[in-house]
Amino acid sequence: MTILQRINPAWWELIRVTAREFYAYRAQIPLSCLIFLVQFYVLRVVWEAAYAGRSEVDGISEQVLLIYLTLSALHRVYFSEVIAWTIQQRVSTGAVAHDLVRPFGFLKQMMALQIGSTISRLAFLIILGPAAAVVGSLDPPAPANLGLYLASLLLAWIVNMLIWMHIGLLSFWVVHVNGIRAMFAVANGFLVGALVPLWLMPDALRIVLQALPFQATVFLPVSIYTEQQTGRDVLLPLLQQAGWIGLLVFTANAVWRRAQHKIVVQGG
Amino acid sequence: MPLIEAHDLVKTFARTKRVEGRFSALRTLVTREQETTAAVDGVSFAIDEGEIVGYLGPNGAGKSTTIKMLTGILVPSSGTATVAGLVPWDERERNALNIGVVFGQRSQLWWDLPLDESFRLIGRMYRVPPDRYRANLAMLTELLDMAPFLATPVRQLSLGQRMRGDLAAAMLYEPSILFLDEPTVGLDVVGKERMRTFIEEVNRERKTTVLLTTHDLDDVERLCRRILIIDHGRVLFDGALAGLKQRYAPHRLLEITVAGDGQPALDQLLVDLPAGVAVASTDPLKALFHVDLDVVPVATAIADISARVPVADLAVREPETEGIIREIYEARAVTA
Repeated sequence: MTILQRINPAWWELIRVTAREFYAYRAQIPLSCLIFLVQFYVLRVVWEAAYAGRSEVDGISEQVLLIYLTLSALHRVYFSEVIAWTIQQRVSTGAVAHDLVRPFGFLKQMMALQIGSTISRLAFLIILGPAAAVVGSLDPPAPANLGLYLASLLLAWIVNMLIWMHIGLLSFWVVHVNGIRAMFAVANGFLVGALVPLWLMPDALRIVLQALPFQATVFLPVSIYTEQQTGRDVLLPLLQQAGWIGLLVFTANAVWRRAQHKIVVQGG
Repeated sequence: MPLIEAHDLVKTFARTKRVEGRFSALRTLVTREQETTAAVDGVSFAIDEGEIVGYLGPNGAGKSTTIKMLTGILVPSSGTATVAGLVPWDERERNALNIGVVFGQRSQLWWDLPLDESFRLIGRMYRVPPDRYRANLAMLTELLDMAPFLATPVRQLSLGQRMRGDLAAAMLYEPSILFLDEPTVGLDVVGKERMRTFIEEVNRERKTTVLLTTHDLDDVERLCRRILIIDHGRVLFDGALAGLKQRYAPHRLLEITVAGDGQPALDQLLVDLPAGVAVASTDPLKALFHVDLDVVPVATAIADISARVPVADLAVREPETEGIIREIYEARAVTA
């Protein structure tokens, strides 16, 4: 038996189904692409104006900053909150009852969904990647950093999923986490360092954000890409990300164990 | 050993107490006071392999909550249960392989996918071998007449079609136990009939054990040799349908039509009735008697009456299940 065969087929099926469901609503794709293009463009215009011809601010060149911001925006296309949205929707409609009588764990089902939703968006890259390079600013990284960046990207994706899983699990206690989710989504752009890189933040704020898991999703991988970390230090972000994954897996399991006693199937 | 066993199951739900009066919404937000209600309050029963058991009770009696504990969805506040040897809420994923679940009010199918895609996914998730899967799907498609809409997205199916799809989805992996929570709700006469025939068939052919909640007593009379009645979270009755009539309505209705010249004799009888016989209603030349079986056997009552009036026609009727169940529900509502 190969390793692939040993994996529960439910993973593949749920991933496939999620991707199929995504394309059932393909009409939304051009519009979302357009929204992202506008975002890339605005970022560039605003920051070019902010730099106003200066070559560096706090030791960060305009070029590096623009790559950082463009890539951060691109990250957020793939780091979705669909897992939080789905958990809240399953709980508030009572559909969670069906998820719980499957021979496949609830959190695994939700993770498969997150994977499927990311994979279904990969096709976007063909359009969004080059577009981001043209409308925004995106240079290829140094070859030595590419491998590190990709490894860090994968870890970042996992951290993002785990964070939103926690937000989603709150719905077992408060049912409607939509408000919390929306507020957090706004704060998140800032917390992960996608709107302003952590380098440019005042020391006090940066120390706080560096102690939180959010920057492990965008700031750390993008800094690797833009080569702000060098020498022995390049492995530090990866270790930090792995540490957060370990901790978040642990807390997610603990929260889920308690959530099971909180289950109320809405609507009879 | 019974296949399903529940012992003193209790499930209480806590809810924040609503504060009355000024700024009630704000004060409700900060109050820590909770009220608890027991949806299921000490339910015990045992079901053997191959039984079809009807689980009855008025709305809010605790039927669905019991089913949700036996399927592992809810963890009980106290009490124990085993389903095919497993504690459902402790071994949720293993238990899922043994049971099929249909909630009439909601669907387990994927809304945006064609029906057969949902089936395929379920087949893979429950690891049904491909040849078994094909055979089961063919059998279910035939039995539930699903061929015309197998390729239709679930969101476009009618209620009856969707319900058949849900039932098929629950049977694809041949579970030994089916939990059906109102499987005929909202269906038309033909739809209900198809559902009942299907349940009968899988019970007979595959020895599938069925626990079924319903408000439709035709479902019960047709399918269930045994019923459990529950209200306010407690079991009121557990036994055969015939036993229910014996216990809650130990009487027969006796309809007598007398010959053309029998009116005076009938009038005489009506004012001087034999023991255990009461008048339910009268018409010219006709009377409906209520015979109390605890006092007099129905044969004796018939002999007594025929000795005194010239009987032209006679019919004995059993009390209707619906009336009995209504009386049980209403009696509880008063004492509660």
